[in-house]
Amino acid sequence: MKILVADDSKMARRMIIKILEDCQEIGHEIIQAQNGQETIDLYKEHAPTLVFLDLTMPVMDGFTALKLIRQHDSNAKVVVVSADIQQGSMSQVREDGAMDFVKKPISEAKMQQILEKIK
Amino acid sequence: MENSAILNEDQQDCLQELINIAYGSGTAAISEILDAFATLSIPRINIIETRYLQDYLQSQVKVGMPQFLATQLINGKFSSENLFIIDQNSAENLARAFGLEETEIQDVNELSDVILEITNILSSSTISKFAQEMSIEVSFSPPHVKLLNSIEEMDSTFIDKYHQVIIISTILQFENQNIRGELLILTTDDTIEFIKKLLDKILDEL
Repeated sequence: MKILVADDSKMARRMIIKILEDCQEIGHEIIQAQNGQETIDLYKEHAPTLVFLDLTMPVMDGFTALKLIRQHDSNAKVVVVSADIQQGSMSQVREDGAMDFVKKPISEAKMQQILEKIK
Repeated sequence: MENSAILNEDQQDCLQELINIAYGSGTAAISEILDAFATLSIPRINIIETRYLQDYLQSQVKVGMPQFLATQLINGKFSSENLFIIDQNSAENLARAFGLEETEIQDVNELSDVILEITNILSSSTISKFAQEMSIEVSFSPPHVKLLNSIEEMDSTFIDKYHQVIIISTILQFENQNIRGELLILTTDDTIEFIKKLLDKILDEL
């Protein structure tokens, strides 16, 4: 499975990748993006099965990237991972087609749940 | 310089409680990452005028020690700017707690990245929880971080557009190592007036 991890912080990406490694039954191909624009470019290039997307990123934020990814591929599976836990942010990303909204830091149990859902 | 000059006793008490709850949300996120070994002190909250900020930092932050200074703009009716200040020793301890290798810890870029993410989690979790309690919406700009040789090097020109600072000070203890960080919220008079009205509304409803 190809998984795109988008966050401007390398540490945040490492945390997600570590949990993915702890959960995986088979190997996943991990692609990393540092901002919203890069996320879209890499999505178009690799067509990943799943995207973990941060909201607060430079160049282009996660809200805009989510909209553009879903415009490009209405079946895109995007999980938003953010410390912004406002109801408005959660509602907006759900309206824009996010598969799930996860509060940072993502737990192993939640990761398992997400991976099960897309199998 | 006193809080009472800005907020009355009830408003101060209400704000303290709301920030305690909000900051709990931020620190809980950090504790989750660090596992159960981390304990965070109850934050000490104070409001001062920005002109006293340098004096405050000189008295609280280790003078002459390199400091990471991270900033994040908060947009919306609670228009403000968050500052997270942490000395280099604490930053290195924090990076160790996050499992970075010693070679990575010696790399300022790696350390900066850790501080960037900690700022993002602390600031976004705290402010979004606070916004939720106040029934307002805010948005966040990406944080920026830089390493200063000493706190005296802080370029305070960007602070001039703000009038008050809400100081949230806490100590994180991890395996006998103290990690001290200061989260500061720079606000304008308009923002403080807006908060006062919301605090009064909350107090009226109690």
